[in-house]
Amino acid sequence: MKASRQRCYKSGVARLLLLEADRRLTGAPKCPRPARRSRMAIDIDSRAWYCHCEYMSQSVKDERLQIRVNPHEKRLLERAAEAAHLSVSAFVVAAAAERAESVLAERQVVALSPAAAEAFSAALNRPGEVNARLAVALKRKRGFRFVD
Amino acid sequence: MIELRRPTVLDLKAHDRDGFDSGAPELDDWLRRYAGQNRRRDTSATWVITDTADEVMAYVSISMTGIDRSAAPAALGRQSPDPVPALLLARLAVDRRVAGLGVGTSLVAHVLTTAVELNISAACRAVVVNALDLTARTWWERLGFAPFDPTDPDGLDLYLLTRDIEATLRAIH
Repeated sequence: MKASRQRCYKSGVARLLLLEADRRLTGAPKCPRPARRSRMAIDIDSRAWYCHCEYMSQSVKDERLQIRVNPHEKRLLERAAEAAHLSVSAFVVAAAAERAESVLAERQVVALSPAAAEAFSAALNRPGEVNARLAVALKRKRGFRFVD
Repeated sequence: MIELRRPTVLDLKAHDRDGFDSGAPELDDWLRRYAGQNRRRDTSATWVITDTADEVMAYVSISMTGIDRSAAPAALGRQSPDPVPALLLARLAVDRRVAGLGVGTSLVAHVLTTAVELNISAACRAVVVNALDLTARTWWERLGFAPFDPTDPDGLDLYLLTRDIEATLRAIH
């Protein structure tokens, strides 16, 4: 039990360090910490500690990605990672994930798989209908009001 | 009750973005560094909801996209152009100070209304979103969005048909 808790703590600290390094790299503001509680009560895996960041997620990193680079690219990555106070691996993952997110968010064409294309085409061919979930969501009471 | 201004296009001079904190550093950073650039390059438009002091409380960036369904059987695609014109809801973020109040839903509602208007004046058959992760996908599904591939439990591309949006808005108003 104790060993397990210790592993959890170490893994949490490592993630916090990675997040802080990423924040410095991107110039993002510090995330507010949750109110201090007793040491034992701190939930190290709480989302509030890490913020929400796809490529720094709480999931275990057990997938491997191997890439080949030329010596110039390697040196460049090493220098940039050093400047950002990150390991080369963390730097490459953070930079690539940020770019991947941007590409997905700004796609000019969304390509569908055969199954998706077939389902979407079938939906296009049916008449319009009330979307019950959307209707419920739009009718939900708001916790604020518009002034203008 | 918190008072906010209705959705409006981001004004780089009037709207204060410095304190925006959604809890997702990459989204906060995008608002501060790239929203203006994307507007100048006409690659996306950013709509914001601000408080009465013009501090941004939520933003959404949208752009036009096309849905390529060339992989579908030919018989299914005869009545629509390919790619199908659509509105891409690229980024949505809500400041933690107003999280859970329905601000994000209000901003999405504004985008959906825009899609309906766009479909009348030009053509916009659907609104598309790429969910950040499976948790975000659940949030979008609660708003009625459906995954493009119903057989893929991990699919993060979702859509809503504009004519379904129109029918829904007409039914609730």
